[in-house]
Amino acid sequence: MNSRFVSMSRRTASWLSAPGMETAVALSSRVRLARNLRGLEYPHSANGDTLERVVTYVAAGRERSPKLAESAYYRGLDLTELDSDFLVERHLISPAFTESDDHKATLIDPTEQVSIMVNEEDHLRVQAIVPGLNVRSAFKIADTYDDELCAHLEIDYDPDFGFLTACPTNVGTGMRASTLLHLPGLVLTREIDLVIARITKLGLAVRGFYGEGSDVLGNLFQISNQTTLGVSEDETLDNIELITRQIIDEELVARRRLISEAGEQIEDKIWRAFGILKYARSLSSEEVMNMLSAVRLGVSLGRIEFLSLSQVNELLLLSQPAHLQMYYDEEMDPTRRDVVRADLVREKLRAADPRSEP
Amino acid sequence: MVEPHPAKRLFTQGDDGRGHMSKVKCHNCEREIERVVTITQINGSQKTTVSLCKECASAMGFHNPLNQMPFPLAKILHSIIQQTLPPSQNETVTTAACPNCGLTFAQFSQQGRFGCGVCYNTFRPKLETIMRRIHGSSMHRGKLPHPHDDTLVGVRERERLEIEYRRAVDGEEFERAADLRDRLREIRAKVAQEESSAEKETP
Repeated sequence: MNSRFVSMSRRTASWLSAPGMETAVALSSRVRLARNLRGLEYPHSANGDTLERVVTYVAAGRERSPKLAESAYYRGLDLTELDSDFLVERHLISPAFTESDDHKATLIDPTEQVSIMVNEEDHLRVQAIVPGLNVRSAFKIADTYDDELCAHLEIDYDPDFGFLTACPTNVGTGMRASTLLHLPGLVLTREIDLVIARITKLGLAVRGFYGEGSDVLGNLFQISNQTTLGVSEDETLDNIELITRQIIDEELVARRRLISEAGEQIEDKIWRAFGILKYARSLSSEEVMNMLSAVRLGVSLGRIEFLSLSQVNELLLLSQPAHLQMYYDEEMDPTRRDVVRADLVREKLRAADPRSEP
Repeated sequence: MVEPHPAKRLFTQGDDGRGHMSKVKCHNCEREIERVVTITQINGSQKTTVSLCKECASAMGFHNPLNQMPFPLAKILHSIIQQTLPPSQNETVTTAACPNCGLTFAQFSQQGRFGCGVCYNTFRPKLETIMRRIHGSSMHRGKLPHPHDDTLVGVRERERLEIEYRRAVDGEEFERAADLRDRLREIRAKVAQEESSAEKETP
């Protein structure tokens, strides 16, 4: 267990810590840029020797860039499975990146907003993640790191096709911009199908919380662009921002409708979920996510006044398996995790609402 | 049995509050369920709740909103590439192999990924159509890498040669190492010269 991650787990992720109600629907915005080194085979077709060369070049580039040198640098083999899972839960690396740890490296900036994966699908994947609806600021941050890479490494580029990538779906800007949205209103009013169909028609992709191929947990959805060639970064960011704003408006309308048309049922759902979280003695992470979704709705509707959205976000993050183990600095099997998770949730809720004794 | 009603469809996963921990049997196929789909239907004053496995639930028309989405682009890529493959046309391109990584166009269309950056050049005549199908465009607009600064290019090249030189020495490829050493000398001299002239220019 990496001690740096143990202390990281005790503070909430910077992308989840925006104050106020701003993040009632949009939790976070993320931008990632795919880049490759000229002349070297892409990770999926390269041999170990070539991959090692990529790591060596990047490590050397990092040494020469004062900005990149500030970031923490981890070789794949330095990280245990738990360490990697922790970084996935924190959205700093992708699940696919953890499948093997040979010839891999990760850079994480001091604010934990930016990470660079070496030898994921492309040689380099730069990503920045910020709270709320703010793809533009996520891009600005990622862009400054990309400038450093472009200055200190031979980044592959073609005048026609732009930045070259392993998959033709990423070529051009190499940029994927996304927003993470909490949409319980649209799910409960069953308008979500229409919304998803419309977003897809506009050329955007919709995914569940964990990204590609995952189920929707906790009513969390991720909206992202698909097109990277022929559309500039600016236009893509505008598009994502515009469509996300529309969805946020629709979600807020749906929430108001739920309250006016089915107020009692919604309140019942919210408080039942709260009750489970407050009194249960064993909780799976899936269950916590689903219950927290209802509690989050309750907080944003002003029904649960003693909790803040950032407290709910903190629980959402801490209740995930690797975070839980980092937080307590102890490796646990799933059964023990469920018990400890319930303890943690109870403790946090009691601290927020000291009126009653669980 | 609960029938899905278009207006009353509801897909809630693990909404029974126990998630994957419960040992519940599917109401329909009676297999033990790993992930429970609880369906609640309200008919007038009557409320019915059943637990189903994911497969039965979607077969009966209760669906997860994300299941209706078209395949992600990467998955339909293969068919897009196949469609742009008229056998007579561009014979030389389709049989050409990338001089850098050896990938053939047939392999590219199978895996939907390039082997290296040189592949783009190798298959360029075919790519325009493919890119237009995927992105609606075949011409990049947006960020360019840093405008090239000669000194910087020199420094990068020197560093690349240094790394290659060390590798050659470690691998006991002495001929290659000697060649790299000569090139390194040249570029070091050039970088030093550029740096000193740059210093003179700054007031």
